[in-house]
Amino acid sequence: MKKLLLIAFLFIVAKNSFAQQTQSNWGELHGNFQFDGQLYLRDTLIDPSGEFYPNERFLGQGYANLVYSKDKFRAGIRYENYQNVMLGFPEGYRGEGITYRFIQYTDKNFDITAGNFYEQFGSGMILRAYEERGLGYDNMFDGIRVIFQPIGGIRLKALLGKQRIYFNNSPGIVRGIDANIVLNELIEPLSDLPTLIAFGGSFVSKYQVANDPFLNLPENVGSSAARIDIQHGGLTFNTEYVFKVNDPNADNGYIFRNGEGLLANLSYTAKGFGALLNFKRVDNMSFRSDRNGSLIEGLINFLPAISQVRTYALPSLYQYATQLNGEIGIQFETNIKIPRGSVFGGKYGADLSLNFSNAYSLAKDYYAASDTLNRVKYKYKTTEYFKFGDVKYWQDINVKWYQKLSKSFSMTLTYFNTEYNSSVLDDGLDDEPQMETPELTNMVYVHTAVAEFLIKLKPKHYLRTELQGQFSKQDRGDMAMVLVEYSISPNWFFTIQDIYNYGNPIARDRIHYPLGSIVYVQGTTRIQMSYGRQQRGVFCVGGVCRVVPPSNGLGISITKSF
Amino acid sequence: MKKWFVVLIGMIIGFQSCDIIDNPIKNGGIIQPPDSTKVVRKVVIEDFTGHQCKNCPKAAKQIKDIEALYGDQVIGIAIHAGPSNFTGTNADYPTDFRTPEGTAIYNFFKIPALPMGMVSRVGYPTNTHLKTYPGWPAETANLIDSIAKIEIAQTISYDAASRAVSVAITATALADFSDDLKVCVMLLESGIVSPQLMPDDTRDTTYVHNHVLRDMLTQALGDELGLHPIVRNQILTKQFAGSLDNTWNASNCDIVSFVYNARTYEILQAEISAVVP
Repeated sequence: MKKLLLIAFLFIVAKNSFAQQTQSNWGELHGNFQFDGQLYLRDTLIDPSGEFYPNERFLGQGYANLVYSKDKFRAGIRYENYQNVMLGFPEGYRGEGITYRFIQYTDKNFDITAGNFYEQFGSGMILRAYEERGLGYDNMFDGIRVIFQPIGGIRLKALLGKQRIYFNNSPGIVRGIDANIVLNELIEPLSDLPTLIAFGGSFVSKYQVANDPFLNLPENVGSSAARIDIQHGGLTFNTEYVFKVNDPNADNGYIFRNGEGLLANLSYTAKGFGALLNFKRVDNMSFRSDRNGSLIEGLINFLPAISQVRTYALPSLYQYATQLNGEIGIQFETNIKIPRGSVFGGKYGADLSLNFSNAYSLAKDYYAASDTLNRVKYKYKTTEYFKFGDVKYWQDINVKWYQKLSKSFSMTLTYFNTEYNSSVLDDGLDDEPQMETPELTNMVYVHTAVAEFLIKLKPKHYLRTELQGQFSKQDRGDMAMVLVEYSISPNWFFTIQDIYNYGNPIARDRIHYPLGSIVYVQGTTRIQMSYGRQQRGVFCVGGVCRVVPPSNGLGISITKSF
Repeated sequence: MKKWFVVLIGMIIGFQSCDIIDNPIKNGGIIQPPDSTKVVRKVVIEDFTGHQCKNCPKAAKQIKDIEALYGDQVIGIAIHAGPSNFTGTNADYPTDFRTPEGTAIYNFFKIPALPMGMVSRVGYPTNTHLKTYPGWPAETANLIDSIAKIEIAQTISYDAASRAVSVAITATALADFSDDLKVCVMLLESGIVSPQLMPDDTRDTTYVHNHVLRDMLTQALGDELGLHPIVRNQILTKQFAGSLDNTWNASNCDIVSFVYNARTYEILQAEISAVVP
């Protein structure tokens, strides 16, 4: 008993002492915590045989980050826990452990990190390590990174490490260097120029042992990139080109052709007007630190999708995903502010947004099966660089109108016209069979309309509603959705919604997908309780397909930062 | 200027470190015929597949190619298991290849997608045991020349009238073991003609399914064969019995036995024999 009292006394003294010292010269400790869990309910409507109903009944996962900093030093750890991983997340996450730890030193010229870190070179087309917890995506590095800024305007980066794959590291080693130069900072006479000019270059390579009995696989695969960024007033232009040597992998079917990617963005903003134009062409640019990796495993680079990320529930059922093996496409968007007092702007003005995006296969010819060497080595040859190919992957036109009609009422009306190649984007069907037999292409034509209304009932009390309708003769057929959200700012949010797939071609799938949630927010703490039914989905990447399981259950989510 | 020079040199060195492959195909294979006087390690490739999985025929072909290269040293097993989207039956795909044991193995090893495989289950319990089919040849090559630690002899008796089959396993330890050993006995059928969804999205009604797991004479994750410590030359025996379904062609059925480390789940040795010699 005496020992216990002594330990308790020492703990209190130490705690108080530490707290005081923390305030003075012991540095700072910050962190955040999140837990998500769901109690699953057996639902014979969405899962008749019970094949997706988890044995555990309750699945939960969480993490806590701690970062300590003092002067030029930072250090941190993250503990993660999956017991067991929730439905819909990658099954590779199981168990628990310290997945992230690092120590970092930063001064005027140097930034040195040992341990885990995230990084991006340029647009990310050659290297991007990042985390997207909502998808279970995390490809951080475990290694060493040095950032050196010898003089103003020049920043050099070098890294060496292995990437995270669930609770392990990828078998391949990644090495990379990057240089970024801002001319206006580097050259004094240019500092006052109205035009900002920056450019950069990167080189990234990976090493993975090869022991394939059929193929001479490269163990070292290198990739390089060059980029430029010019800004003048409201006009911005940036572009990056990336090239990769032969990199046979599971995504490209073990072909030996070089890879390349080109991304160009042009945008203009002025008062009440904005416009952007994107162009992207990608050919065989899957770049993983494990050549046999699939799905989200070991991706070194990130190929941005040049289409809008959809936030409304029904349009997000048909979201474009970049095709690593090749695609070409453009995006155009304009935003116009309609002035107050005009015919269309009314008393408070309005915002009009128009967006167009598309993506096609590359223009190419496949080598005949009898041409064994070229078929194994290159599979196809591209014909015209800027020509769009025969297989349409995606096209979307959407128009959004936002208008405030009174001090307490505003609305957003959006229309989406979407063409979605389900054979490519869901089933992972290659271009070749679709080029030979166009009837194989399962194109889904979708019209979606969304009306969102926000009403301020009284100070701090808001009512938000969404009415969504999605109409298609293919795939899931017609759907409708109603959402009502009542919020008492800044603490409470009450939401109820229902999606009804009344037009599904399969009669037994014409069911409701209800969802309700209560969110409480206080400072940096957020607690959410929810109930909902989740639709089943299928997607294929890199030659493997997985099912996103349907589910029904009660969920809880807690986040806290300090 | 000097620093730029260093960066330039770094990039040049980087480019030099790339392996440019002019001839990707290895000619004639790389293996030597196994020494018949020695016990060789046999490699088991468990292929999780489905008849409505369009990429799965690519995985089946991969096994065929590996078997062609390494012969009897490789044993392929097609386990039809996973979401009903890929393995369920309907008018177009009428044959139900699923088995409770296959589903149990699929669930235990947390197979995330199809096609997916394990090569002698190496890498479990980390996720490195899950391999996409392009990785199977290299993984097989890694194991094929490793020293056999177990020798398995199986004796099969089959009664055509009752369709009863019995298997006597005799395993001889060729090394000392500090872990328990388990044994699995599987009944496979080949030469089954039944529709399969193909990579070009067509349905091949004359597709031939081989090495299909039909049943297990042990539990899905095996039965106990020996408790540690197990010493070199120790002989472990076990007997199992089962029967063939009337719809299965006995002449196309094989019995596969394999012994695995009960702690790591790595398959140490395997043997295959026809039910009808």
